[in-house]
Amino acid sequence: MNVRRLAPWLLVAAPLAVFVALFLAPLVNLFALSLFRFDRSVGVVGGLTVENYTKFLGDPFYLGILWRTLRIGVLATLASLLLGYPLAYHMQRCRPRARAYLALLVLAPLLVSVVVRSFGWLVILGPNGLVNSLLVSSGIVRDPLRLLYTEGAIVVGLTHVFLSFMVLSIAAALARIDPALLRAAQNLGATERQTFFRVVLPLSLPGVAAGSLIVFTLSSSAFITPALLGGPRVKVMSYLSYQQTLLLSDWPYGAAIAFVLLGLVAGAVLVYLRVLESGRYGVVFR
Amino acid sequence: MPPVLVELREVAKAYEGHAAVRGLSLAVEAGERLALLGPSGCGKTTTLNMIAGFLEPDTGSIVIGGRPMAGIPPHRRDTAMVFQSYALFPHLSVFDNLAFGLRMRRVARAEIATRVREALELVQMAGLERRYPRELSGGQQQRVALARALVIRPGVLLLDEPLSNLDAKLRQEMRLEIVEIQRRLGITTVFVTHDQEEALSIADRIAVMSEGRIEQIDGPIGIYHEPRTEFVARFIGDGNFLPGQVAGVEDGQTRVDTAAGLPVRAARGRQRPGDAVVAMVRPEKTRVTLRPERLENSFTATVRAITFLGPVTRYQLLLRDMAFAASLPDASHLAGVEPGATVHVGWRAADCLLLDPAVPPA
Repeated sequence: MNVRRLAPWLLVAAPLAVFVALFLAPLVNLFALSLFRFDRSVGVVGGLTVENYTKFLGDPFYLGILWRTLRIGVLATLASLLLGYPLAYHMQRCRPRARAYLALLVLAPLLVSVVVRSFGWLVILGPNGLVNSLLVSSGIVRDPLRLLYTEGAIVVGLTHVFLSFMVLSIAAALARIDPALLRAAQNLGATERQTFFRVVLPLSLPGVAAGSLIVFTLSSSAFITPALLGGPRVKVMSYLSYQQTLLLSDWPYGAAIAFVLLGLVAGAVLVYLRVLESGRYGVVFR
Repeated sequence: MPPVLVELREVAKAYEGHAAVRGLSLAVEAGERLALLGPSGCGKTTTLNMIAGFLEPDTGSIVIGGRPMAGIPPHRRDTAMVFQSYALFPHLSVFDNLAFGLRMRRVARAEIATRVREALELVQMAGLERRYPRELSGGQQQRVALARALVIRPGVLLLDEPLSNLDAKLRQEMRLEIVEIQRRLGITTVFVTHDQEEALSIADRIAVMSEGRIEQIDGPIGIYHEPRTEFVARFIGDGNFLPGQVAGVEDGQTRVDTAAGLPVRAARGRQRPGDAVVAMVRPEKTRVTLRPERLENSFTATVRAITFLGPVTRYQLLLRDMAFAASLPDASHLAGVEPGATVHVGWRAADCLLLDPAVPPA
C-alpha cells in the first residue's frame, strides 16, 4: 500500500488509540464487571451471571429510579425545547451584533462551574430563598414551599445549562434555511403563521433532533446537578451507580446499573430518531 | 389597446440612505411579457420585490388589477414568483410543492390533484410528482418552480433571473418554452434579467433600467435599433461610440464633429447645433473595403486584428487612434488583408444614431 493511502489512517491513529484505550476498553471492562458477583465478605467473585440485571429489573425501587431518571431527561429536554426554540428563532431574526450578544448570554451558564451554578439554585429555591420569600411576602402562600430536593428542582437546574445546546443547534438549523423559501411561501399565499408551521418548523427539525438528543443524553446521565438539587432522597441512576460502586463497594451492581442506563438512553435515542426519520418530513434528515 | 394590469406610479425605495429605485413609473399591459433589464444594482429586483409585496415602496403607489397595493401583504397579492434559486421546498415532494399554494387557497383535494397534474404536464414534468427537489436536475427544478407559480393561476407571473442558473443550451430551450407557455395561458409576465439576449428573446417590451430609473421602454427592435441614450445603446448589443458636437443640420442629416476629429454624418436627431452628442454605429452596419465606397461616412483605418467568429468576421480597426469594430457576414473581398493593412471603413448616415451622452460633460 502506498503512503498516500496510508496517510489518513496514520493521522487518525492517535485519536483512535486514545478512544480505544480510554473509552472502549474501560467500557468492555465495565460490562464484564457487571456480569460478576459481589459478596460482602469476599468482594468481587468471578463466574459470569446476569444476576445483577435481574436484581435491578425485578425490584420496583430500582425501576422507580430508572423511570424517574428518564422522566427528568424527557422533562428537561421538553423544557429546553419550549424555551429554546423561540429564543433560537428570535436570534436568527436579529442583526448580527444583537445575535452575538444573545449567543453569549445563552452560553453564559456553561462558563460557570456546575457546582457554583447548582449552589446558585440552592439559594434561589431554598426554604428561605428568593422564590419562597417572594411567595410568602406577597401572601400567595403562607408557608414556604418545598422547591429544593424535588424532581422539579433537578429539571430546572439541568434546563438552565443544557438550554444552550438546544438553542445553538436549533439556531444553526434555522440559519441554513434559504430566506427565499419564506418569501416563496408567502408569495404562494401563506401567512406568517402558516409559513412557520409548514416551512420553517419542518426544515429546522434536524436542529431540534440534534438538540434534543444532546439535552436528553446529558440530562439522563447528569450526576452533580441531580445530586445537589435532588439530594439523596430524589436519587437518579447516575447517583445510584455511584452509591453502589463507591459507597457500598458493590462494583458489579454499580456497573450493571450504568449499563441499564446506557442501554435505555441509547434505545430511546434510536427510537426517537427512527420516529423522526419515518415521519412526514423524514426527507429533511437525509 | 389591452388594459393595464400592473401600474407603478412614481415609486421610490431606498435602503439605508442608498436610493435603489427613484421615481419609477411603469404600466404593464394585460397579457404582455415585460422585461426589466439592467446591470446589477439598477433596482430591477427591488422593483420586482415591490410588485410581489416583499418590499413596500417609500413613496409612490403600485396598483394591480385596479387595486392599490399599499399595505397588502405578499400572501394576499395576486402574483406568483419564480425565484432565481427556484426556492423549492426541500422537505416537500414535487406534488406537495405544487399543492402548497392551492392548499393555502383551500382548494378541494380532488381539484388539487387535477390542477397539479395539468401544471406538471404543461412544463413536461408529468410523472415526477413523488420526487423531492434534491433528486431533480437544475433544469427540472426550474420547470417545477415555474409550474408551482402557474398552478395557482396568478394574475401576474413574476420571474427573477429565471434562467441564470442553467447552462447555455438549456437556457435557450427554456426561453422558447417560457414564451410558449406564456402565450398559451396569456398570463401577464414581468421578468427581471441582466442578460440582454434573454430580454430580447422573451419580452414583448423591455424596460432598460439604470440607477433606479427606466432609461427607455420599448419593444426589442426599438430598443436595439433606436436606443435613445448612450447607456441603452451600450447595454444592448455592441456599438462604436463617437462623442462630439452637432456642427449643423442639413438635408435631413446632422453633421457631427467628433472629438477624434472625424466629420460624421448621422440621421436627423432631436439635437441642435452646439449640443454634445454621441454618434453611434453598430459593427454590423459598417462596411470594410479595400477601396473607398460611396457612403456618407467613409474613412481610412488600420487593421489591428481579424477574428473569424463563424457567422461573422470581426475586424478590430484603428480609426484615427480610436478603436473601431466592424462585423462582416461576408469578408471574402478582404482575402489577404492582414493586421497592419490600411482599409476603408464606411457606413450610411441613416445607420448612424445620435444619442444623449451617458454623463453630461462638465
